[in-house]
Amino acid sequence: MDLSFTPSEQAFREEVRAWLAANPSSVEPDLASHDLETRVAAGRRWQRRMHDAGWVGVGWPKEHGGRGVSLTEEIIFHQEVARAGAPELVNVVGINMLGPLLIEYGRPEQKARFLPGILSGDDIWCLGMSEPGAGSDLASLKTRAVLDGDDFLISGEKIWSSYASYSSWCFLVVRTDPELPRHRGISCLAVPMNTPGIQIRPLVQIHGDKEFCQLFFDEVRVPKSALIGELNRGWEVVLATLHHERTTYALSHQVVLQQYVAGMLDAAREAQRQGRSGIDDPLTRQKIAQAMIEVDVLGYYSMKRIGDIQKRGLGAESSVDKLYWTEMNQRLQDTAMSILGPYSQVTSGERAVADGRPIHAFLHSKADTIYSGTSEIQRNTIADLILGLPR
Amino acid sequence: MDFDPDVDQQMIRDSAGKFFADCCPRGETLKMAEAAGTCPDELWNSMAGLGWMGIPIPEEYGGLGLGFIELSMVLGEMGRVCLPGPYFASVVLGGLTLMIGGTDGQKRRWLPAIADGSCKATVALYEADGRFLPERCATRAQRTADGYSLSGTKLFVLAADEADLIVCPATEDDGRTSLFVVEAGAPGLARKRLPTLDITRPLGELTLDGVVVPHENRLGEPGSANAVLSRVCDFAAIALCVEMTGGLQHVRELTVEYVKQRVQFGKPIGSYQAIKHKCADLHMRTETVDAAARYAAWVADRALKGDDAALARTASVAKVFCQQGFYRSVSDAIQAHGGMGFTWEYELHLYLKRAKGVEVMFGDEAFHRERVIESGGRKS
Repeated sequence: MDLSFTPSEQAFREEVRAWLAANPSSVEPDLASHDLETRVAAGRRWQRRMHDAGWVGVGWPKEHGGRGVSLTEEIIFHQEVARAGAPELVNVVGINMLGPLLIEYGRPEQKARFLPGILSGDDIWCLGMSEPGAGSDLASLKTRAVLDGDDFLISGEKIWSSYASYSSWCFLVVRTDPELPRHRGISCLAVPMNTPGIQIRPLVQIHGDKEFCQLFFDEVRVPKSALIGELNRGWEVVLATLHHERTTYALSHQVVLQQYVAGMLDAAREAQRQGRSGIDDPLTRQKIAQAMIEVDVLGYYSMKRIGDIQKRGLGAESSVDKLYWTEMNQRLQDTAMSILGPYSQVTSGERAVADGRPIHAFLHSKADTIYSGTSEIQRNTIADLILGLPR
Repeated sequence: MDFDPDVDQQMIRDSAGKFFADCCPRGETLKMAEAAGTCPDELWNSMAGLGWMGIPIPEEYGGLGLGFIELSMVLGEMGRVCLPGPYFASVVLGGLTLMIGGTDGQKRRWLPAIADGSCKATVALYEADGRFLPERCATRAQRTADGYSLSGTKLFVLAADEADLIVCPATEDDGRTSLFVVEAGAPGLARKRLPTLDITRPLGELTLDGVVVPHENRLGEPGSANAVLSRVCDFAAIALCVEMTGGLQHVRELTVEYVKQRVQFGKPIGSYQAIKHKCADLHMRTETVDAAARYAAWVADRALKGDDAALARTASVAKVFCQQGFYRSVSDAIQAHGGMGFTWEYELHLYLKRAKGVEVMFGDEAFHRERVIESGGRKS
């Protein structure tokens, strides 16, 4: 048992830290804009800047344009990015999910075609998974893709697709054989978003952003080569994608949460409620400390998981990763709001605390226990696949 | 970055696991607790024969000179079976207090007997005011011609009635609080066991009525009681976390096994989501508690070797987190077991009582949370 970082891991941390110090994200003030459109444009410029310096997709193999660093170093990288206050990359779906998936399941020409654009941010990807009738029960999805000569003809409807209006590609999960048992007849396609027959309707989210969208497919024609992985074997690809999403986010998120806690302490010193600051209130101190404790433990837990994953690979334990951090984050955000007192009601402007970011984070945390499998689905997965409880 | 024990550490765990599987089959520790509130001498002697009491004690003082991680391998297995007996009091409290607070001569005098199990030690932390650290210690140590005369009352003392050596903080005439080693047979010392919620870990009351303590039994420097004990209690809190992890793992196994075989409405209750979700939470808590305890044990190991930097913060973080997870999980486990969970002969209640006992030892949640916020927001 040894939890210290190796000299080369330390050196890697120093290197990341030095680059971020010389290239602060503050050069793009629009990254913090309240307007999503402005934020996405700044995000593209920021991703390009990081990409030019070789800091995008650090965990990807070198042959595919990454740095080929270990999982530990990947986490170190995310920690340093968060510590520097730099934002999440605009193409986060592409980097964390699509890239690893294409590297594992894609054909050589797909890798050559898609990976460079994912890294540079020129091609933003969205996911076409959930449907109005297929949420938690994703395998009941109905969007059809029918082979018509050398093409697939796609018809159906997808929903909750983040960044779809800014995306050039969609990772689309479709039913290719309705006769097969439901998990078997599913396939995955790479669909250009400018294909005729696709309609995008942005949906306004709980915090006012129009980040996610509804997608309508009306006889959308894509070539057979759009298939990722094998025909009718897409469920396996979907599960791998979800494991990646659940784990990567959880393990790299600890420092982001540490920053929230630091912000909470600042707010507790500044914001007055009932004539005094939260930091002087014993109950508030206890609540903040509880958040600090849970965030520290996410850090310890992440270290344990890195070791596990390196030895045994990803798996159903990714549900534990997600369940723990998302529910903890919601408790933390509740505490953050309570610290602000009446200031928790002002969403922007000079009377808002930290330009309203704590409120945005509070609202956003409500999505965390829903996307990528709700907490209830994570609990079912843990019970069924890890504990082996009867169905 | 490797969270797994190394080969030697794993060997200690395996051997401890096998030892308890043989000596403490299910239900055995409940019988021990009912019979005597401690483990039988035979079991104690077998553990001593394996060298377990000497794990953290340096070789020059008769121990094995191993670290806190090795100690945690044994503690985890003891926690798994809820072992009664003075191991925790003697090795973690008594042993570490002597190691941290004693002079070289005092270590030579007492540690070898603790290490070979022939002497059981404990530390009398609490008094009637409920403080576990002797910031204001009502027990007095009056100077006499050849030593001290101790008078006062100590409460909630682990292994009080079994210990051969009791380390007692007491306030000297000049107001400084020092540690004194009181030997079991000393005239004026009365001990009694308090009827205790956690029957596997009975607490005692000590009355010191002019107990004569020779000068050489004052541990280390005068006035060192608070500093020594607060450090010992950090180690002790982490040791409890390790025990709790073992207990939690057992509770998870028991519960998963039970809900798979218990049939109601024609199906195993483990097939119902209401039960599944409790079990999933039990698993999540076990895994996160395990991470916290193992990380803390690693920090404690480094602290024993001289790097104290993260000890206090980590002890507080781990103590709060582990005891919350342990108590909530045992409560859920009892609920999932229905009437069986409320039954004396089924061992689950031992873990509930452990969880409640642990909560108040070496600082409760409020104490440790306050320490965490005092230690600041940006750590890594």
